[in-house]
Amino acid sequence: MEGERIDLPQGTLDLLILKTLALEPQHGWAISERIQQVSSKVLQVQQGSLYPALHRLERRGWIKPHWGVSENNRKAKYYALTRAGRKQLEADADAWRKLSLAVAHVLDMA
Amino acid sequence: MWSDWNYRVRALARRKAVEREMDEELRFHFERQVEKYVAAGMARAEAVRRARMEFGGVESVKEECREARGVMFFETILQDCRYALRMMRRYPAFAGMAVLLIGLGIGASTSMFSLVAASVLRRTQFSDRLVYIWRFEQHEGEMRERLPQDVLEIGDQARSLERFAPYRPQWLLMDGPQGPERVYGYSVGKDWFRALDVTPARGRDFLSEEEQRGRGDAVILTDGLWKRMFQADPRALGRRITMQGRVFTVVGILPATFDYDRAELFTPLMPEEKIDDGGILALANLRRGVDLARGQSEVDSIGASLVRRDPASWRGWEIRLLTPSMRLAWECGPTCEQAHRGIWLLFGAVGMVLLMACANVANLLLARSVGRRREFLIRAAIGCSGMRLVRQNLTETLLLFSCGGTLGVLLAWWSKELLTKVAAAYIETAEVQLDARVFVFSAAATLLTGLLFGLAPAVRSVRGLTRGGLQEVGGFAAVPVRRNVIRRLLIGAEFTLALVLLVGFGLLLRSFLYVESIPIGFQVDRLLTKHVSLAGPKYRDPSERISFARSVLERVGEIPGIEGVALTSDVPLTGAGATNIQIEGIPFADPRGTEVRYISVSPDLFSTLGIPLVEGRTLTAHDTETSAPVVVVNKTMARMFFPNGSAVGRRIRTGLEHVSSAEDQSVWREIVGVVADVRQRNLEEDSRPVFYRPYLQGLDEDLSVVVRARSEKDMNQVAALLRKAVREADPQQPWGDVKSMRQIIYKSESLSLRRPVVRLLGSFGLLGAILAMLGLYAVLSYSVSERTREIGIRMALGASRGQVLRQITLDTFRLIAPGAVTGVAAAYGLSALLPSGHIGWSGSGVFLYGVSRADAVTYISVATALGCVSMLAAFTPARRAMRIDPTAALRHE
Repeated sequence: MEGERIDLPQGTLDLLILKTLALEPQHGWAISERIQQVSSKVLQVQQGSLYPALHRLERRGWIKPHWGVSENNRKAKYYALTRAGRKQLEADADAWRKLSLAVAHVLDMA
Repeated sequence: MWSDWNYRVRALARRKAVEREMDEELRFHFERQVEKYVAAGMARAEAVRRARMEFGGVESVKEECREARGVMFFETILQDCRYALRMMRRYPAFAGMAVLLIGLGIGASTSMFSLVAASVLRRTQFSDRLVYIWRFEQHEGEMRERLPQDVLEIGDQARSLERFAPYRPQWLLMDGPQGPERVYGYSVGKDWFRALDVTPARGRDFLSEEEQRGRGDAVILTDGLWKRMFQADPRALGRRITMQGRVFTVVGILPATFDYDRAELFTPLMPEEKIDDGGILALANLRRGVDLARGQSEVDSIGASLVRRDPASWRGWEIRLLTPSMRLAWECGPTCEQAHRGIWLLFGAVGMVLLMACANVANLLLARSVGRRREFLIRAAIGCSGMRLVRQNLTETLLLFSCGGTLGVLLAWWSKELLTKVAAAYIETAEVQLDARVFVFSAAATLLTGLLFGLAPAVRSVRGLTRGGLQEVGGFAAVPVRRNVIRRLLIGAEFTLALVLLVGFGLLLRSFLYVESIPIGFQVDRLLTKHVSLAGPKYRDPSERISFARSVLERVGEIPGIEGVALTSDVPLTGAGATNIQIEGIPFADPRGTEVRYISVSPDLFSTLGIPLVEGRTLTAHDTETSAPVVVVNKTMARMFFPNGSAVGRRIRTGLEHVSSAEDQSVWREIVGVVADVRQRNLEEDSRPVFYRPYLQGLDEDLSVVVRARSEKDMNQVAALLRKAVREADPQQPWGDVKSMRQIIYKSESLSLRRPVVRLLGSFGLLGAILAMLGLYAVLSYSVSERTREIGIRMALGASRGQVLRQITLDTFRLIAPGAVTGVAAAYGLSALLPSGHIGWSGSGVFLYGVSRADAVTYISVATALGCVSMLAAFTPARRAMRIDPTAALRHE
């Protein structure tokens, strides 16, 4: 399991966070859990990078925080996607798909 | 972008709350993770350990979050500021000294800049579409304000102009609270205030029917006159005031900020004033959307049609539209230019003082950075980056400079009144104000000097921190030798600047003293003069003027205790009217070079003032209205126009304009005598050609009575009687205006333009010298304390106190010698900026006169004085060095 982890390329974490939040507002822990789960534990998000990323996205106005009650009945900071964030997600996802497709093409050449 | 900054600022403002939320958020994550492991069957302690391991350093995560929020920049500044404030509290003497020095420098330069802003960079306060309508005389290349009344047609015809308003200046005799008072004002067309874009603060503007004769005489007052006349009583509106026999009703009071050429009172322009042959002034607004060029081209075509219709009076003229700033530029004559030059000079001088103050601060900073080296070493050792240390150093310095700058602005504010007073005697300006420009200037000056003088000490303080490492902390820090080089350079620069300032002051002081000692051409003691106005309708007829002048002369002649009395249209040192002359027998071609000054006098003027006769005769009582027209010329005029023979017996005729009545122009006048030159305009002028005509043969609007008292102690009594006599001749003559000749000399342009410059430059020079001495003292004391061990060793080895003293003296000399050399060179170079040589009829002030810019006396005395004071500054450190006890010194850390 440990060996299969991949370091996330620059900017990818932002995309994953936005995508995760596109489904529903979540708090930080749930976001990291979800990314891990969906990627079948290949992608593991470090707290050291998750929270700075969340704060950065908030500064850019793509996500908006609010305090809510978590699934275990505790006060937690939830983040929701804003309209600008949704736009950003579409643009980033698009770019990412193009990039990965192109990279795949190049790699499959041989 | 905006929301980004918005976020940052909010994050900064809610800093505590944001920090708390972040803590909570991270704690939640951590606990949730623990819960997860516990749920998966792990023991609680193990779960906590695991989660903590995964989590990594909480602080570093937090730091990264802060970074991500984009508030680190501000946080660091705040942190540094707090630290800087703590340091300031801990070293109050250092902080106080630095703030005081910066405050002095910034305060002085802010004050001077406010003077620059109020004079050289003066801005118009009126409508930006305002244009003045002037005429340009192609022949003389001069702009003139007065226009023939045909100009009114331009107002009717020009489509590109609106709110065309003719106006005329006037002196009015007003019945004030202390008797008659001469007040300057304008009679203005009904749109005049609207064209300026000014509305009265109280009451109303003129109505159009008030321009009609007999519709009641309305008057609008300035705020100043309202306060003087009515003590700011709001009921003044509707009150009546009497001026020259006419009753006026106050209809409006202008805002306090209004200033138009210092006029105090405005009346509607009556129809007959428009066609008065004295000419008329006009201003207007460009219609919206019309630029100056288009307006000018339309006015040109109207002007061309005027030339076609009336070539005699319009040939050689062009009508010009002037914006207010163009007008200011044109009106700044030689006197004003000299005044501006003086202001720039002082501004430059104050800049030097600022630099010196900053150099001293830099010196203090350097000295302190040595003291704080240990602190920096420790901080560097525990991982503080060099950049970070420089930044913190710089923040501290900038904070010091900000405090100093604030103090400076306060000082400037406090000295505003004083400055306005100085400026009023010196330049035509409404008021010295600390406006936005001034604040921007002082903020920029503070920031710039702060960066300039803070950066080097900041960078220097962290240099070599990594190399030496912590070893230095334990023992005594070996001070890098190069640090002293900077301090030596600073001292040298300060010394240079002090020398430049003092030499500049010395040169101008010597010029001032020389000008003051210039012989004026006659006896000045015990002379009193009283100005008499012949303006107004009562004296429109020249014969009225003459008969009044005659009666004044008779009455004043009866005053006991006087030695002599005379009349003159222009008292010496106050100038005189100009005219072109034609010499009989020589064809008149070019008016250039034929300009002379003329003065109307009573025959006794020459004997009363004591002007010696050179040739021929002076005027006599027999030169009257009916006798042959005669003049007496001064020596300069005789030499200029009649270089190869005697002027006496030749005849001259005055030129085309300037002299009031038409018959004056055609009359040939015989030169009957030549008298010595008198300083008519300035003490340091080139003497100008002047002719004197008998007052019975022509008199303009201005007249002065000149009286010589028999003794000094009679002067007050004579002055009172002189006032009384003039009032008896005409009760409407104003009360004031008695001046002694000494006062006139004191207030003459030659001295009054120089005096403030010399005084201020002197004080700046003194301030500069003090600053240089402070710097020198600081460096010497520092070097003595630094070398305590060395001096101790020398003394232990048998060096005498005399030798130590010699060493210190030598050190002092080494410190100041390069500064003295460059200072002399710089002073000599910069003194080339001071204009020298002769000046024209008007214009005086900031230039060398009677003193060479290489004046040895000035240089030697300044250098000697500075050298002596330097030795004095070195005395205390030297004494301390001599008292060093060798045993104590060897143990000195």
